[in-house]
Amino acid sequence: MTSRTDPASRLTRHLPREEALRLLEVVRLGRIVFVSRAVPAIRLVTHTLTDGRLVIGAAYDAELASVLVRPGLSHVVYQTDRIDPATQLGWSITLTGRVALIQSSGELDQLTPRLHQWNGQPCDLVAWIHPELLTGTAVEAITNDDAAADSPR
Amino acid sequence: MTTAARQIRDLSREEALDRLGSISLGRIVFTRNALPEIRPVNHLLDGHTVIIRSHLGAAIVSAAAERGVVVAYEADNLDPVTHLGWSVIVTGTAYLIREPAAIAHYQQRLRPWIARDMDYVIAIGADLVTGIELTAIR
Repeated sequence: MTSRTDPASRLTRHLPREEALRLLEVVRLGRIVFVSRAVPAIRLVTHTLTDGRLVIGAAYDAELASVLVRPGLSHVVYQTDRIDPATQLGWSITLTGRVALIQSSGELDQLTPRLHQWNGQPCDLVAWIHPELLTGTAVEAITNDDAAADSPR
Repeated sequence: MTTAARQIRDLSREEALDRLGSISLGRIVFTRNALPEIRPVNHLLDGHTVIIRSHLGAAIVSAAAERGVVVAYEADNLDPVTHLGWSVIVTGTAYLIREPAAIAHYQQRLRPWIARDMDYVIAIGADLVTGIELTAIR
């Protein structure tokens, strides 16, 4: 029998949009990726999904804030994953879209209670990301059932 | 989830690199056509250099090959429920490893998260290292 980490016993598949959106609801922690002064930057933030839009919350950070308040809408990438460190089985989702800082107190009152900052700090920055491109990859163990299945993948 | 009983601590450069070296999965962040991109990859730490295997395509590889390109690398070990744990971010210049013996050496020690044919070995210098750790207060 092959090891679970043997590439031959693993299957990589693309996640359809609906499945990727469902997985985004399962986790609360993700990473916002942006370009700041021509250098790629990444921050861990919390998220929640509402009406098909992603809402992120982060503690105040000057670099992140400058992206969120930039005139016109900035493009950012949001990534989240859950990959078992031992088996390396799991999934990763990447979302690309325009980001907009939420400043209306009505919306903030509604959304902030749903955001739980991973580091326990308050969410000073709350922003929408409109998902334009959503891609996901899953790495799964091939079970005997898969191996016996008639339909090729 | 309660978020009150926890404390945040900045990790020193050495502590952050130690933690980075203790796990194998992270995420490389780079720019392509002025837009940011991120991919989960496996890494190992060789001294103060992060080594990854990648099939990231022409953009990062060609940029890394010429004169190096600045990338960020993030790895964390955070509990999905309590969010306790640590996160480390390295920012540095990535360059392509070209020496066949070094490539073979690293390819033996690193397996890619997703197996692909096009396979490069990229080194990322740890120019800037930041890390934080969240622990429960007892």
